[in-house]
Amino acid sequence: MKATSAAISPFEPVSSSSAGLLPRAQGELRLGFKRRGALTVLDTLYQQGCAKARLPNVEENGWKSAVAINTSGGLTGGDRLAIAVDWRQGAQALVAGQAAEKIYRASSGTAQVRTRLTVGAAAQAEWLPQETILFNNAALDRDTIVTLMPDSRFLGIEAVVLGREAMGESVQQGSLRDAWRIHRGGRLIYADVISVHGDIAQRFARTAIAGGARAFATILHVAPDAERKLEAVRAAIEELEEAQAGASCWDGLLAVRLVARDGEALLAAIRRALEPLREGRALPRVWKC
Amino acid sequence: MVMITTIRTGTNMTDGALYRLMAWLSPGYPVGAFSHSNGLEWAVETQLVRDRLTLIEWLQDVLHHGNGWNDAVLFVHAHRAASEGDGLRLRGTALLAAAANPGRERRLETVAQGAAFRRISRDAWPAPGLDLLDDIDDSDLAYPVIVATLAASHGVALPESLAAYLHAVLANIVSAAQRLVPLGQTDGQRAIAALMQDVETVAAKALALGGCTLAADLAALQHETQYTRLFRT
Repeated sequence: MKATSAAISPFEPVSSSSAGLLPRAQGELRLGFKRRGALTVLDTLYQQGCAKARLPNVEENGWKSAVAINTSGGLTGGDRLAIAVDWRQGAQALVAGQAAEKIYRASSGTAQVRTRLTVGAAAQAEWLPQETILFNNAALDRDTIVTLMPDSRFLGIEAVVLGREAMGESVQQGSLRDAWRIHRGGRLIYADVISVHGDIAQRFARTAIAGGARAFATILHVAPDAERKLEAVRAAIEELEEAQAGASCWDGLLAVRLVARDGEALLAAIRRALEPLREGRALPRVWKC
Repeated sequence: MVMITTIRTGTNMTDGALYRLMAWLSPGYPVGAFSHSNGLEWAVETQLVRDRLTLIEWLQDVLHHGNGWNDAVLFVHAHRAASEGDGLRLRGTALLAAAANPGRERRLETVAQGAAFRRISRDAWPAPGLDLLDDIDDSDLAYPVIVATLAASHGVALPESLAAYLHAVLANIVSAAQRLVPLGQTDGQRAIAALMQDVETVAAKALALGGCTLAADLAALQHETQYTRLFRT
C-alpha cells in the first residue's frame, strides 16, 4: 500500500527532455490555509516567477478564496509552472484560476505544470481553475496529485478545450498528457491519465474517443458522503443541449465526465454539473458568466 | 514404456502453457464475464456501434487507446513482478489497477472478474505465487493483475499470456455485441479475426515498456478521453 502512496515533492526536478532550452516562463506558487476560530486564514504565500496569487478580501459562508494567476499570459514548450496548495486541518477555501490557461504552439519542448493539493483532516477544498485552451501544435504535460485525509472534502475540475472555433482557431496536431492521482488516507483511490499525441483532430473524430467533440472536462468530488450528491448531479446534466455527460460514484468518489462540441457548450455544462456539488454557492467571480 | 515426444513450436511455449491459457481464459472459466459489456451496451443503444465495421473500430480504440491498453500495461508489470516474486511491486501494481478506473461500473467489471478468477484458481490451479496478493482484498483485485500473477506462478511466459488475455477480453465484448447489436456468429468471428493484428501490436508495445520502472511506465497508462464508456452508468 505504501509503495504507491509515497508523497512526491511538488518541486521535483522536471524531466530533462527540454534540457538546454531556456525556459520562457517559469513560476512557483505555494499557498497554505489554516483555520482560526470560525475563519479560514492564509498561512503561507510564496510566489515566484510568473506564478502569483490574489486574495480577495471577501468571504462567502466562511469560505476563504484565492485566485491563482499566471502573469506570463500562457505557456509554451519549455515553460514550467508548479503550484502547491495546502488546506490545513479544518480550513475551508476555494482556489480559482484568474483566466483560461492558454497553451501556445511549442516550437520545441513541452509546457510542464505540476499541481500538488493537500487537504488536511476535516478541511474543505475547492480547486476550480478555468479551462485550458490548447492551440495548434501545443505540447502540455500536466500532473495533479491530490492528497486527502479520510474526512477531507475535495472538489476539483480539469477542463480542456481544443482551440477556439469561434475565433477561427483549429487544432490539428498537438501533444497532451493530463494525469490525476488522488490518495486518501495513504491509499491511492484514483489514477487517470489522458494522453493524446500527434494527430489530435483525427483521434478526436473517432467514435469511441470523442466523436468529433473538441472540449472535455472531468469533475472530481471526494467526500465521505459523496454518494448523496449523485442523483442531483445526474439530474443536472440530464438534458444538456450541446454536451454529453456521465456521472458515477464509488468508494466516496464522485466523477463527472463531460464532452462538448466547443468550449462554450462545455462551460455551460460544467456550470450545471457544479451547482449541486457546491450547494448553490455562486461560482468564483473570475469565471466569466 | 511409452516415449512421449514433445513438439516444440518456435514460441517458447513451456509444456502445458497452451493448455493452461486455454483453460483459464475460456468462456467456461466462471468469472462471470458474460455479464459485462465494457460499456458496449450503451454504445449500441446510442447507435455508436451498429454493425461489424463500427464494432471493429470501437474495439480498436478500446485496445489501442482505452482500457485494453491500460490492462496490457498492468498485465506486463504484474507478470514481471510475480515472476520475480516481488510482492511489493505486485501489490503496488494491483492497487494502481484498482484506482485506474474512470467509473463505478468499469471498476466493478474488473474487480468482480478478478476476485472470481482468484477464487476458482486457488482451487483448480493452486500456485504459491498467488499468495503474493493475499493482502489485496477481493474488492481491489483487478482482472489483468490476477491473470498475470497466475500465469507467472505457473511459468507461463508473458508474451503468450498477454496475447491470450487480450483475446479473451476482446472475445467477451464481441460476444456481448452478438447479443446486443445483434450480430451473426460468423460476423463476430470475422471481427475477432480482423482484430488479431491490433492485439499483437498492442501486446508488443506493452512488452517494450521498461522492465521495472512502474512509476515511469505510469505515463503510458492512458485513457485518451474515451468518455462514452461512462455513459452506461
